Amino acid sequence: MENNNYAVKTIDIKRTFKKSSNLINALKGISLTVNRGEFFGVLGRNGAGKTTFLKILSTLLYPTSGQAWVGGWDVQKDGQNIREIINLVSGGEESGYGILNVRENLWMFSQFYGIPSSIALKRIDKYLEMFGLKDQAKTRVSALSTGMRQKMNLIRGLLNNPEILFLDEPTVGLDVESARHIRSFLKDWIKENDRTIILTTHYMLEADELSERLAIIEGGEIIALGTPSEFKGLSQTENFYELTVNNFPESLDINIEGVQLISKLPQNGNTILKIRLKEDSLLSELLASLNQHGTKLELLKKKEPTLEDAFVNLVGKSSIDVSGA
Amino acid sequence: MAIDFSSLPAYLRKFLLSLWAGWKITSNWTEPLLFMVYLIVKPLSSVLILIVMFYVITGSFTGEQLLFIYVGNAFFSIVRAGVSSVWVITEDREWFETIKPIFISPGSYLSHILGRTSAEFLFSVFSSVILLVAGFFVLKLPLGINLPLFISTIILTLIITTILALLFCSVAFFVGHGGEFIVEGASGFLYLFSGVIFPASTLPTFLRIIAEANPITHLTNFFRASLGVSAAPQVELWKFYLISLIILALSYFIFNRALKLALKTGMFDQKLGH
Amino acid sequence: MFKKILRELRAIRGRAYVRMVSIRRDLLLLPFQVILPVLAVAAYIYLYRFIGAPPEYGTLVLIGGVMTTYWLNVLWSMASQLYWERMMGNLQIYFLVPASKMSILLGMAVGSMYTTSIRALSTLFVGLVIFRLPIELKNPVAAILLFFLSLSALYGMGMLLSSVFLVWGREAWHLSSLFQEPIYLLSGFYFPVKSLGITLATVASLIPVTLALDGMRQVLIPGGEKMGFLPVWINILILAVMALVFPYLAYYGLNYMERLAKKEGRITTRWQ
Repeated sequence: MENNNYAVKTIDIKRTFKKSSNLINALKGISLTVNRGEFFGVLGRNGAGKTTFLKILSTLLYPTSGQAWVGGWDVQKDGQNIREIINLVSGGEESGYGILNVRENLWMFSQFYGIPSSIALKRIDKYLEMFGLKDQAKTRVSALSTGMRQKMNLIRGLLNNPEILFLDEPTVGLDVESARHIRSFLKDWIKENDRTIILTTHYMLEADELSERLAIIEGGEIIALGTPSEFKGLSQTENFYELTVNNFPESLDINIEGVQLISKLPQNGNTILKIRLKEDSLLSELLASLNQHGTKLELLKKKEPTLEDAFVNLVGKSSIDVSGA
Repeated sequence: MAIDFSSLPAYLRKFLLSLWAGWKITSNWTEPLLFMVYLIVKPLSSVLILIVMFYVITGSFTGEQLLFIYVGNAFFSIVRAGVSSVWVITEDREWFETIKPIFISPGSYLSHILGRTSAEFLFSVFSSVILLVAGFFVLKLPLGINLPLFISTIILTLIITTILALLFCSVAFFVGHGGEFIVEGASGFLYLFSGVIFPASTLPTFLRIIAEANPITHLTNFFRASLGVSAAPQVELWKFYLISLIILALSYFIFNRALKLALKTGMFDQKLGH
Repeated sequence: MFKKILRELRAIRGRAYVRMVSIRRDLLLLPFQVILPVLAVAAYIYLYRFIGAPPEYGTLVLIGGVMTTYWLNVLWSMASQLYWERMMGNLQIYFLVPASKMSILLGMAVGSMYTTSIRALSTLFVGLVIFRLPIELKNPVAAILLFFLSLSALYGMGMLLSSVFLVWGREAWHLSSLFQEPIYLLSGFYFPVKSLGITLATVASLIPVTLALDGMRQVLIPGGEKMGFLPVWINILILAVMALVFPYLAYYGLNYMERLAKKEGRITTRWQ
């Protein structure tokens, strides 16, 4: 066993896929360490390489080159040892057999880990209760709603009490309540059990809420790595303000260098202005200018940068899903 | 895709698209040459089994009995196409998961089933013709052709194949991962009770009643007669058409009832894989 | 070690459970699975009657019919199953768990064994009670050895085939379908294999079911010795070797194909 101090360590992982005559570079050299006990997020757009990365870590796919260790075991040589200590849950997963009910399906999966039935069933019942699926225990899987199905998938991932849990967009397609429930459960589970979770997502709020550290993958490469607050700090080079003002002339053009009016919205007789300032010190100049035109300030709010701002800055695209289901 | 069906009425469009898809699904799995082998090797092997069985007992490759068996078996591969169409439901629901988009698209689901069944029918007619040609040239089987009767029989076979497709698809709505068992089980039943490899008169009386009531027994005999193997059955052809069309209407009714029940119970799109 | 064996046994039980439960829950399928296929066997018995064969040939068909059920179980309920598991979205899970793929495959076969055995027994019932076919238990030990050794070799062969399915997918499924009738022909399910001539019969003896049928007919049919291609003890010997070699090859075949599939990225999931 090498690099046993880390939950995951990768050195220059590359993966290419051959599609007809084309070579697609899904991963272009990922080097990363994830500490034991860490909740690590991998953020990226669809097709960025997140799933390929998780597949390699969970022994489902070999890298084309590079090395990776999970729990100290080499993903190519020690797959069997890794499978003893991990689990993987994917969003929208449809594993299991429609003819079995929820409890039976989960029991079947537990048997592939050799868990004695008495222990497995107790564990299953506990999780079914925790996830609010107790009443669906005897419902056939084919009759479950998407949210219930995904909760069942997550329970499957927890059955072997894995040291390292890989979650590939686990809340995709879920309603707000189910997604929130799953997030809250995961936060508690990792603390109570001293486990490691590696989560891929394209929901900003999810990554922000759960991850202690996160990596942004774009085009098969890590383009940034840090804590969510460090990412937000990256966006703090510019300052955003929201001003609620009274008597704002329709024709007024703010012409101060370093001040940019992003939007103006009328609301209850007032106007809400969204402003970007190059520096905070420009605020007094702006307020003085407004005062000169007879505009009265009612409310001033400094807008904190979000992970979305950081992501958009880094990736340079705004097509990402930021709904945070 | 170069073919454009967009200007056609929805039912016809769906039928033709499913016919085209049936061809693609069955043929596109490997090289065209291997596909041809596939169409020939399977039926050829099954008829060779019968020839060897015949040879083991009689020590000969000729005789009226062999002719009876050979032609009956060649015909049965067409009948089997009707039963094989239950695969459409299994594939649509369990594997390709296309049952919902196909069902909600314009044109009925039945058009889709009929399109796929027709693809199977055409494949099997092709196999059957190859077998007959091989029998004529290799085994020197004394085959002739009564073209009007042959065409009439093929049209009747298409009707019968459709009936089988409708009836067995009605069952397939309510079973999970079981298409292959339905095909095998139903084929076993039809193989015994359709006068395919032995005359119905070989059966004991209580089983003979089933075989003689089975329209496929008479259809098999019409097919033999169209190739000059035996005299045409006593039943008049127009009566046979009439009976077949009545059964077709009944099968259509059963299919619609089954489809409604499957939709009502939620089984239509429920994956049951095991 | 004991813990690992226990895990593999639990994995077999877990996967077998799905099939066993499905029999109760998919009742409409039962007649198609166990009763109607027997009718095809009956058709071959009537064919022999039609061409004036002695009744022993009915018994020959009967033994072929019984072994067909196991052959089909191996081919469709086990060998091709990894392809369907991939289509259903379960294959990824099977590669994610520590249990051996062989145990999971064996679980599928064991789970189907119930219906397979009912079907085999129904075939026997039809043959012995309804058709009153002649049977003679000349050498019960040899019959039992032939049966169980051939099952072991057959299921080993099925596992080996499943590794091909893992990489070839739909193509392998068609290949399996393509081979079904030719193997009925080559293995002599419905006639003595020696009728094919020495060369073909020797080639066919690479398939375990050929040897089992050849041996069993000699020890179970009155006058069956005349139908035999190889002496019974040679059939037993070759089957014993196959019963060891096929599972061993399957183990390496599955590991090799798994590595290949991971290298080429073929353990794809349907939802990604």
